[in-house]
Amino acid sequence: MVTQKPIRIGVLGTHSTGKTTLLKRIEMELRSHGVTVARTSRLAKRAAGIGLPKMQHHTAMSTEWIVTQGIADEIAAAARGAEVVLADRACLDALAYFQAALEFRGEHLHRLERERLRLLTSTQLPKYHLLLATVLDPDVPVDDSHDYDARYRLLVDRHVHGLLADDEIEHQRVTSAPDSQTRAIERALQLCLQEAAV
Amino acid sequence: MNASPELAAVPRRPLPILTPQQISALKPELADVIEYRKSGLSLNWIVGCPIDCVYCVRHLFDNFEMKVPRRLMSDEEAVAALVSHRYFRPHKTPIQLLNRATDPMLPVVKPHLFNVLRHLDQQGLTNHVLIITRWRIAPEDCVVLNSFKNLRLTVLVTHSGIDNEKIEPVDSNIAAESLRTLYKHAERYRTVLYWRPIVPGLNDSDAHLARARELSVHAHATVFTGLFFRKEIADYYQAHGLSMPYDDTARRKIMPEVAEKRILDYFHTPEYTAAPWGALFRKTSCAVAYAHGEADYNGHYGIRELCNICPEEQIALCRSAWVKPDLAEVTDEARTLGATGEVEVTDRAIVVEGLDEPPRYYLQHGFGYQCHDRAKPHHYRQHGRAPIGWLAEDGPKTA
Repeated sequence: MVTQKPIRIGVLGTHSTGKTTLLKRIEMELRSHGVTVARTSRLAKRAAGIGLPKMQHHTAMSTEWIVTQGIADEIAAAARGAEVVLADRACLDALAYFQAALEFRGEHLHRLERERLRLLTSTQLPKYHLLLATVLDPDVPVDDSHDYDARYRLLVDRHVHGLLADDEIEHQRVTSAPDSQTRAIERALQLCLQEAAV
Repeated sequence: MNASPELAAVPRRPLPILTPQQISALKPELADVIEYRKSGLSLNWIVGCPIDCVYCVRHLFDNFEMKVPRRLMSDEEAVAALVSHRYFRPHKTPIQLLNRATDPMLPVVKPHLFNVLRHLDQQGLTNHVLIITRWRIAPEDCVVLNSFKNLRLTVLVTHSGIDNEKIEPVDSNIAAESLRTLYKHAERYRTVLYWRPIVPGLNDSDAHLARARELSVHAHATVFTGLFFRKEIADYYQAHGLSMPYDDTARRKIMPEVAEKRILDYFHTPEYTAAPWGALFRKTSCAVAYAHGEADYNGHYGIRELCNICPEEQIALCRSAWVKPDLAEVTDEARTLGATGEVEVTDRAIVVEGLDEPPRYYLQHGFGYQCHDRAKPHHYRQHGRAPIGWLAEDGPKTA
């Protein structure tokens, strides 16, 4: 972990597991303490907006766009002077989505291409002061305004937590339980307020 | 979520004060820290709020995008500006603190609120002070709020029960918990359930009404009121794809007749003959006054139909305090403030022309008698409300 400001908090997890809601709550709490916050958002929508595939159709190209655009968004937020940057979809998230898409389609990726994407995401990980990984709860109904493929959603969840476990990446799991959400928010607040007080 | 002990121990930075250049970029109305509103002379020396209720009046000040609170001046300067204001009268003028552009109980704002309260109290002032919040209140906050010896302090807790996060992202349970805490620990201050904004179809189901009634038990009084829906707010709803609560916008709050009837029917308990609606009020100042055992300071008793849900004892209190002022005296004061045209004192209100809201409220609070603008009449049974959702009904001649 690096120590320079801004403080970066990233969230990752499969869709409809409360990533954005969690970050919005953290954002509100931090601002209530007078901390300036920037939150990156809508990466997947923007990717789709320029014609890139999404969800189970992800490719190496769409994944690379999301990772690099995420990096650029976080840098832009820092450049605008935010004390805390909340990354809605930390870069590893895109890799999990891609791996899940490949498994969904029964495809394999060339080893070099896989290593290249993995290297790209791993260069970014030290920037995050805290990673929050949401956990799919099969009992929570999905936002029915989207037409999600249930199997793909489950695969993404498995790949998110698989990648974190494989590389022993420090993170906090966040379930749908209110206590778990509260712990995540408190941890984020604790981290940011202590840093801000220094 | 309440702050953990570890969190409370983290030293807080004082809230930065905006530079003159930053202040000059604000809408002038927002940079002007004092505004006379119906419920009192309002001091707003801190602006910016992260709570993001989409119907917030900050839209009217082009301030909705300012999410982190900042001060416009020091706390001491704010106190000086208030007590030296031309409309401020010691022990008389009701005061409101931070009710326009931030939430006073946000952790970064609260120390400054307490500081200003301390300064006002130390001056021996006994004015009413209203604080409106929907944020967290802990028992240790109540200790501070109880510590003021002179001010008549009321904390109003806004609770709507709206569970659409796109309309109101903050969890209503936070306000509910704050109200319970405030009520449990109240000694010198009073607490009011500020049940608003009520929007038919959004938060007026039987479950919402039941929740409000349950919460009203944890308050010294309850006020119910509608949505303030101006063009700037409607524009924001439209731009963000939110379903419009009403087709039209209005200068006053919208509280349709049918919604009011549902609420009144729900709260009505005929066997409590002395107070069939309990401590439920239509007007903020009526609830505040009741909570402190006083007559309403806005002279709402003149608008007699407003009182038809009030406890008998309160009506008696307001009746005894309500005195029709002398026309010559009123005319004299109104002219000094710049009134043009005829000045009238009817059985309901002082009626003037050519005076904006601030001088009208100055007269109203001074005489304890309603003061209306002849050009903006209040209609029978719609006092302070927009005409949306009301059918015209014959009533006494009003102004």
